[in-house]
Amino acid sequence: MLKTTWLSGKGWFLFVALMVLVVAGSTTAAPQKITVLIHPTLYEATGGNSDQGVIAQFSKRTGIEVEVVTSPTSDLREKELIEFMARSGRYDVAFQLSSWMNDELFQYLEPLDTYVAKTGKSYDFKDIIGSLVQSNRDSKGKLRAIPFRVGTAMLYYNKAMLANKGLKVPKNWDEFYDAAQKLTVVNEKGETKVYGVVQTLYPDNKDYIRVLYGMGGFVLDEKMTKCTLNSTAAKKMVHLFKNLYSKGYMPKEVLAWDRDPQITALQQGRAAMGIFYSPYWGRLIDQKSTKIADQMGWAPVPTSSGVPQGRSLNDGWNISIDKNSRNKDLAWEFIIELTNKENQLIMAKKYANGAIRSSVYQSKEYLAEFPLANDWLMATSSSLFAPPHPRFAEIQDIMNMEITDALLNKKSTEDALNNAVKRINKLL
Amino acid sequence: MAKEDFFRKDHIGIENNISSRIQYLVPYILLSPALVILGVIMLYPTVYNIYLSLWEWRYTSPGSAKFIGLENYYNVFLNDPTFWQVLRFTLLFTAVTIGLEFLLGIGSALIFNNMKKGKRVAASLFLIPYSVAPIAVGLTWRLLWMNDYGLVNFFLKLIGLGTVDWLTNPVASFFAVIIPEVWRSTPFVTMILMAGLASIPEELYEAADVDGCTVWNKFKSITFPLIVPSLTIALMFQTIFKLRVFDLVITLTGGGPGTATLPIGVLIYRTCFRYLNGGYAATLSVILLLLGVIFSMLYIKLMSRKDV
Repeated sequence: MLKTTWLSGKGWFLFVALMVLVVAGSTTAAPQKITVLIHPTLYEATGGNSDQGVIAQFSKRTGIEVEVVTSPTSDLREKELIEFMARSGRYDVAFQLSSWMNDELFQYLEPLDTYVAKTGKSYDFKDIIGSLVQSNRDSKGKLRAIPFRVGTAMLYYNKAMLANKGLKVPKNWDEFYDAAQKLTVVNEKGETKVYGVVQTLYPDNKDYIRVLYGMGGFVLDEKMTKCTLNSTAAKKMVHLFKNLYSKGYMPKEVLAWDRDPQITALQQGRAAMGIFYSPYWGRLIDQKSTKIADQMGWAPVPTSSGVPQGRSLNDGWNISIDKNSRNKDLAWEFIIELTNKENQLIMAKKYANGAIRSSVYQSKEYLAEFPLANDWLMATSSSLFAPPHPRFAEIQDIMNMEITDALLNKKSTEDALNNAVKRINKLL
Repeated sequence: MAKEDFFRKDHIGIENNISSRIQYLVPYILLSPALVILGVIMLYPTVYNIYLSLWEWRYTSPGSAKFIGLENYYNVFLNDPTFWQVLRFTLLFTAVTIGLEFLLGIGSALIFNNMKKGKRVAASLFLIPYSVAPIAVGLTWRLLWMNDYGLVNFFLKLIGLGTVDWLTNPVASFFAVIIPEVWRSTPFVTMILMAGLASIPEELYEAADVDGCTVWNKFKSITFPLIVPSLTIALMFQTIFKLRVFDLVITLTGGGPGTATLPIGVLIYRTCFRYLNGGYAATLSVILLLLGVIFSMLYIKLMSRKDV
């Protein structure tokens, strides 16, 4: 009969002691880690997975491992909402678009006032643009997120093409349409070689709103109880897009394009102008992506008479902590790193991130490298964010569907806008 | 009778009774793990979904959910113009793709069935489109359909036919969605019909040859009637797959231009994950479920009639 005396008495004690040591050891040896859910473009704006990037440098300095999960805009919202509602704490830090920031989302985000109060002078919270901070406060005034990036719509154009046709940068919508017409190049076979304008009118686009704001129009009234798409400005906006589309100054495919084909068209010299989000400037001047980087220019969006110069749609990204995160302090350290003065300046200079701090725009270093910053700052100051209505995604889709029907001549402009007003007012 | 015998007889009787009951219950006991799993992953979500459809409920405001009975259904059928457009597209998409797939499927199955050499290799190559993920199909065909630099328009220009706005013209975009779906799904139909054809006894064709039947008569009188069961099964599966089409459309057109190619599956996704309207999305998915059930019952009735 086998003797199993090694498992009795002292043996068991040693075994248990060893197990406790292994568990304790593994716990203490486990690196500190946070998981961050971020849009790929924002990740690029931090330097991406480069060793010199802000996130890599943060990990190196603090020893905090950062697991980065990237997701495009609409999927990002789904992902984080599902995890927030499930209270999984899967993502310690998550990014949100400014148009998502309302009480419906705020309830899932950790209040940050006490964290901000503990920051030192070097962080200088007051340096962050006030209106951006304000839009991240819930209805009770609690701060729920810190701004990470802000951008507005700008008019991107090919300087050489405009100069060849003797055109000035358009400042109003008549000049814009005129330039689009003259810049469109059609060969003898009837093939369009260069389009005057490219936009993106894919189902959930914001380009209609960008132009609407520049014409002095709004989607909703100030109290967000009534739709105002039956205004003169809205009709003008639809007429502009209809004319650009039907006359072939804009590719027919813009109805199926998201941002990438639009930028590619400009990068390849197949388009002369486009109105879109300012942080994409970095891609248009990237020598590795385009041979005509030095030909690109930008200016504030054209505006109608009486509308503040450069008015368009502001869009921003904010960074927050999940209420159910198990690493809130580490998450806050990460947020500080991405939004402090030093890194906001680095990201603005090196990666064309739209900075959220006034000091960046006053920095000689930044202005020397990025002289167009003043135009950008002026445009951002006169532009507006989308109404923070909880059902804005639905409102935007209704507007887009009706305007697209008008573009395709399935409805008149008036019918499309009246339908949009009727359907949106029902939602409100 | 000895006392022991009496008790043993009773004992045996009781034993037989218990034994037969256990034997009766054994199949149910053996099935129960599978039934529990099916119940959890299929029955419970379906019932809960139907329950949710009776509520006004936004994901981000669970605390303010309100029981509204059939109001969501009322809004879908009477207050939502998009729904009818979407339903029309979904049914038309289903009918056209199934029609084309069956014509091509029967044709290709007959060709493969009659091949003497290389049948297996040819059939395997023919199956390749079906093994490609719908998302990959959508993304690839999106590039092919591009106006200015897509391959399709390039070849159309080459043969002098001019370009088509495949992704932005409401009529052309319908075909831009149909063609990749047919390309991808026809092999599935072919596979099922090939199995059906393989089960037809050769002697029937030999007898038909002896009687001097033409190819068409053989197909009409032998082949087609005998593959109807396989055809019906393929039809049923394909109808359900088409009614809930999602990944191909969302990558190819996103449902655009406007709502020209928007199927119910994409509308449910948008309502749930973009508009965060859980109750309304549940309502739409119940309607989709009912459509699937109606079609399935029709096919089952058709099959059982054929069997009789």
